[in-house]
Amino acid sequence: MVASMTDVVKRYKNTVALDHFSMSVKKGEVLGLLGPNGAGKSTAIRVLCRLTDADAGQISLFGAPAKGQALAQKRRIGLVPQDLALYESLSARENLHYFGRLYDVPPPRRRERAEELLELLGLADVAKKACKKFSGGMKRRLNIGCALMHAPELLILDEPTVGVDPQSRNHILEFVERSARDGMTVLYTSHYMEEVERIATRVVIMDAGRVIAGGTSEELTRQMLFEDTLTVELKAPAPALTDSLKAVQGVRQITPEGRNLTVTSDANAFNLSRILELCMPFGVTGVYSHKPTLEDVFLSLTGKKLRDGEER
Amino acid sequence: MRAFAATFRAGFLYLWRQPVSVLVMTLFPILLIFVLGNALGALMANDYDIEPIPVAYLSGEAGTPLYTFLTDEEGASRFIALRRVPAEEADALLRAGEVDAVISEGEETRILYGGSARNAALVRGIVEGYRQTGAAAAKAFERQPQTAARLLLAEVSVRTDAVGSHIPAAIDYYAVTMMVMISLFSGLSGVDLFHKNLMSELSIRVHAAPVPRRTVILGTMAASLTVSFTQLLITFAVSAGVYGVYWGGRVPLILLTFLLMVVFSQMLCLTLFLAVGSHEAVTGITQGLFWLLTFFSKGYVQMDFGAAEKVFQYIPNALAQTVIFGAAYGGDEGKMMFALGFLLALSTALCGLSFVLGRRRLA
Repeated sequence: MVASMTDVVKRYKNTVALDHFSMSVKKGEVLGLLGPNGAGKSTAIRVLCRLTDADAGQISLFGAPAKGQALAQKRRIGLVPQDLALYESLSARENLHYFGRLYDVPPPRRRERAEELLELLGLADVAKKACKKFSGGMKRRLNIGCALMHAPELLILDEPTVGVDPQSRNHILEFVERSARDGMTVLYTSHYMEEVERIATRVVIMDAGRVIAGGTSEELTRQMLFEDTLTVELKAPAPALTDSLKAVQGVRQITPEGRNLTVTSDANAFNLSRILELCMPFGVTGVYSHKPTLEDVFLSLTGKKLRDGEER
Repeated sequence: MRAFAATFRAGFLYLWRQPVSVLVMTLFPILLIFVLGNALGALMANDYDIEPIPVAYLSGEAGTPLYTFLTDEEGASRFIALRRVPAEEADALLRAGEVDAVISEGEETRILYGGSARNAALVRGIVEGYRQTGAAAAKAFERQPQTAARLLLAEVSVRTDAVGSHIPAAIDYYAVTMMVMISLFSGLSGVDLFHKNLMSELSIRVHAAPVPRRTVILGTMAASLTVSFTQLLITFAVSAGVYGVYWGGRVPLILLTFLLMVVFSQMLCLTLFLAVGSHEAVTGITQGLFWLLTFFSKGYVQMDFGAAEKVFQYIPNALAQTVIFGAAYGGDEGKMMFALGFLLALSTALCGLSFVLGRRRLA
């Protein structure tokens, strides 16, 4: 086990940021920590990285209890904070070297690693430029690069793609995937379920400081899916169809919306052919179905959407 | 050590590459020397209550300008035990401490003085007044207390030629207060650096590194102090080169003491913080030290806050005023104690503030 938190409690005055929170990261895996804003993801990371003390619970890093400043254990972790953590007036290369020095990377290795990362991050051409002149995406990439200067065993990324354009986001995700392929253990927090679904080998979903579900994406969606949703597009609205569809076995709800008819059924009801059979006389122009996502899982577990904490 | 050097370098480059920082670092001392030296020097009222000092003078006949000057109403209020003595007796009087100064009048005026540099400065003020004639003499005499005060504060103008003859207004006086300003700037720039780091979450990442917090904090402090030290050098160079302020004698040592005191106080604060782990405790201890120093320096410092407020009524910097007047009115020990006490309190308070911000941000 690379890192684990057991029954961790962290309070800020009257707010409980972590409420008996437990999580573990296994060697070589990419663990996605998914939760809405304010769920306690960043607090969990801060506690794990020994930036703040927990009020209760146990934290273990690389098989040993993490106590005090845990300097030896910190040496094996690379942290990418949620916001940019760079010296704006220093160049990309200077920033990389700075963090290399902090982690006591020997000078020859530091030079080599900095050039390697600049190349990988697509910043080699602007290595001498002060990073305050960089675009948001470039800064984000450099932000990640700084955490990798010492080739950490555990890379922790706290929402690294917030406010990043799609191209840069893709670049960052590819980079994380590449790091994982190279054997690095990754803890990736996000409230973008698409990202977590894409890169995580295991997912922990949290809300209000608690873990509410955990497993692979497939396990989560399989375990927690109770319904299938099918949308049928008709040539014209067909109110008469509603009653006949309600009689189909497994159908729980019919939602007409203009020419579209959304049919919600129990999971594994196997009633698709019967629904389409009833719809065909009214002229079917399209049929849409979507696989359940982590967003759906979160919605069904908490009644909230992942983004913005919207109520259903 | 590598982490300290890295933090120091990054912090220094951060400050060095900020246009505002560089501007403040270079222009600030120059402007303040000039502005304070001229504008504030002119504002100062000559209402110092300078303790009369015992003097003796050699040769000179009754009725000469020197004799008249020393015995008239103004002179008599400031000097006591005015005696005309032979040269050999003057030495004995000085050694015995019966007089603080001896003025010699001949073709070329010479001053033989003993006692403190403060008294020597007063005597020089007398000579300055004596050298003038008519209206000019009266005018010079009006300036005398101010001249004396600035000299006793700075101890920079004890030199062989005429006092401040080519120094605009009170620039030499205020060049010393620049040290206070620089010390203030040191604290402020340090806090600014911390604040910027904290706001950018740089500290989160730095503290996630395998480096003790004190190393990071010390590196950051050292960077801001280096910037302040650069300012100090600029102050020396500009005041000496442009305004002719004489920075000889013990003054560099005094100025260095100021700087070291800032370092010391910041380190003290840091140590306290690391020891007790509570900014409240640091604040409490700092306040205690400040009051202790103030109390201890009362024996030396004769404060007149009424006059201070009158003179500095247009300056919203009550703290600087306290230092300046504490130094101007007190003896050597008093001014040092007061100034150092002030700096200690201020820098530790700033340091404490940075920790508060840091703790809040990190918590």
